[in-house]
Amino acid sequence: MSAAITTDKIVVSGFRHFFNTADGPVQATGIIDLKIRSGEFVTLVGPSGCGKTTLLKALAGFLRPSEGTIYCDNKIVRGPGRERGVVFQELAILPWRNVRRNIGHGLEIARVPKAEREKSVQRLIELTGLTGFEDRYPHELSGGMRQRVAVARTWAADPDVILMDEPFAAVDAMTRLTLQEELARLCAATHKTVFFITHSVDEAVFLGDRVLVMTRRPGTIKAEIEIPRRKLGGRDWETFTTDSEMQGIAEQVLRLVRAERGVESTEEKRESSAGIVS
Amino acid sequence: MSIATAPHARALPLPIGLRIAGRYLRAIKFLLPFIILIAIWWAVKLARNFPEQVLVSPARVWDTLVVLSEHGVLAEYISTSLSIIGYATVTSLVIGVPIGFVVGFNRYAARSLEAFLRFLQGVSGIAWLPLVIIWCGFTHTTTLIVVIYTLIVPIIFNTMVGVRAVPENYALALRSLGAGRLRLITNVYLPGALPSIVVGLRLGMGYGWRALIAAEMLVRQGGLGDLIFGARTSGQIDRIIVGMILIGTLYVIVDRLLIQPIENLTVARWGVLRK
Repeated sequence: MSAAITTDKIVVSGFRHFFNTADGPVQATGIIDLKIRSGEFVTLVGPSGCGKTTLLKALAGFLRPSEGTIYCDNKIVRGPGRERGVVFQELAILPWRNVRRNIGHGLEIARVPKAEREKSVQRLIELTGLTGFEDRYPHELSGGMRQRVAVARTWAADPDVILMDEPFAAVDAMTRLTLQEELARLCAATHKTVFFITHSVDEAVFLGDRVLVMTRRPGTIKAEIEIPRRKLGGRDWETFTTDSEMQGIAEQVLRLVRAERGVESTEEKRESSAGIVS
Repeated sequence: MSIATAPHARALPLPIGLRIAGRYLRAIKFLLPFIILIAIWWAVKLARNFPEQVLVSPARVWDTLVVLSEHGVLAEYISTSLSIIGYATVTSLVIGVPIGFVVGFNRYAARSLEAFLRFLQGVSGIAWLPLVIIWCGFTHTTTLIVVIYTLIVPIIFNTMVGVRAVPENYALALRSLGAGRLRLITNVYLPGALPSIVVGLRLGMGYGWRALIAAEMLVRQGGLGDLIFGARTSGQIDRIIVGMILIGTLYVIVDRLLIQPIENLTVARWGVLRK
């Protein structure tokens, strides 16, 4: 594929990845082509082991694609970079730094002057509801609070693109609803291009401007659904669950995902025994 | 309202008498095993009426301790031992921690060196003494080499383990915040491995202290090992026991006053490292 100049923020062209195992190479993903517009919130759902995380790691620059190219702002991605922030599921904020110093870490690395740094940190502490917890250490926080810190740290560094790998999957169900609403608000307040991985259909439809559905391993993108976001008034779960159009879309996405899961149960067991984690 | 005042009631200080008694009780709990040991020693000495060349009384040991310290003899022996262990500790940290880092970062090096480091741990510092004495003679250098050797292996090993135990996400997240290699080491791997390095230091000091005493006994160039081994040739039981008491006491002091505070500072403040 040629690297035509585009206005897209991210272009994935002919991406395919293999992992080397003791039994030879294993195909982690099928061929994936993908474009993400600037300011777009794209969610990706798919069965576990389909290669979602592999794609995200390639976008982050943590792994070199076996085939194909990834562009960010028309430049080939060759490694991690400050313009692409990552939020992990867990275990990412540093236990020996308090909330304030974790959130300001990216700015510290970028050598932003202290006064300016503290202003941005303060703003994000307020935006993410961490006021009053500034001097706490991660082990003194709940799982939900820790993920707030991780999100705030990524936003504070002000990257153009934010990659999120099931960031709320390890949080309890009630907290998760709140965090999802807060993320929607945070995105409305800041202009970011977000690529968000999940295995929850509701989460994908609630948050995304566009939902991508992946096939089972080796995963390819089998469907794209645009979410008519403007019609949805408030970004909260009460509105979402009572909006018949949204519920219709969610059902449609669920059917697409379930079609992949039907045959996956035996398949998945076999693959996981080979010791490969997507 | 009554609920709100309850914590205040609990925070009320105990009567002064009880507080002092509590402090004494804690001191007694700590000293009790020592008191029992001394009592048994004294009882054995009195019951069997051992001659002075076999066993002396605690009172006699105390007198010797006072006399030796008044003449500045003890200070001389103690400072020799302490300066060697201090010098060996600093050297082992300066050399051992970087080696542990290099090995910890390289999965293949870590795997191949694991057995080798265990082997070295088996060949204790004392077992090297004959060779080192041939090479370096009966000198402080010999003692120092043996102590550094003993100290550095657990430091390398635990640094390596600590580096490898740092969750990968810490480093990945920081790299996507723009961190370079040096930043990863100072902000992620060094603090992440620190509790494990302190464990290695603590183990190493324990092994190193024992190796030091043994080496001093053979090298005979001063130090507490020299003190007790020298006293054996002239049959001064009181001196031997004074030396032994000092060896134990100094180790407890170094461990409690130096290493444990560092351990508390790192581990307690960061909480459980994982989750």
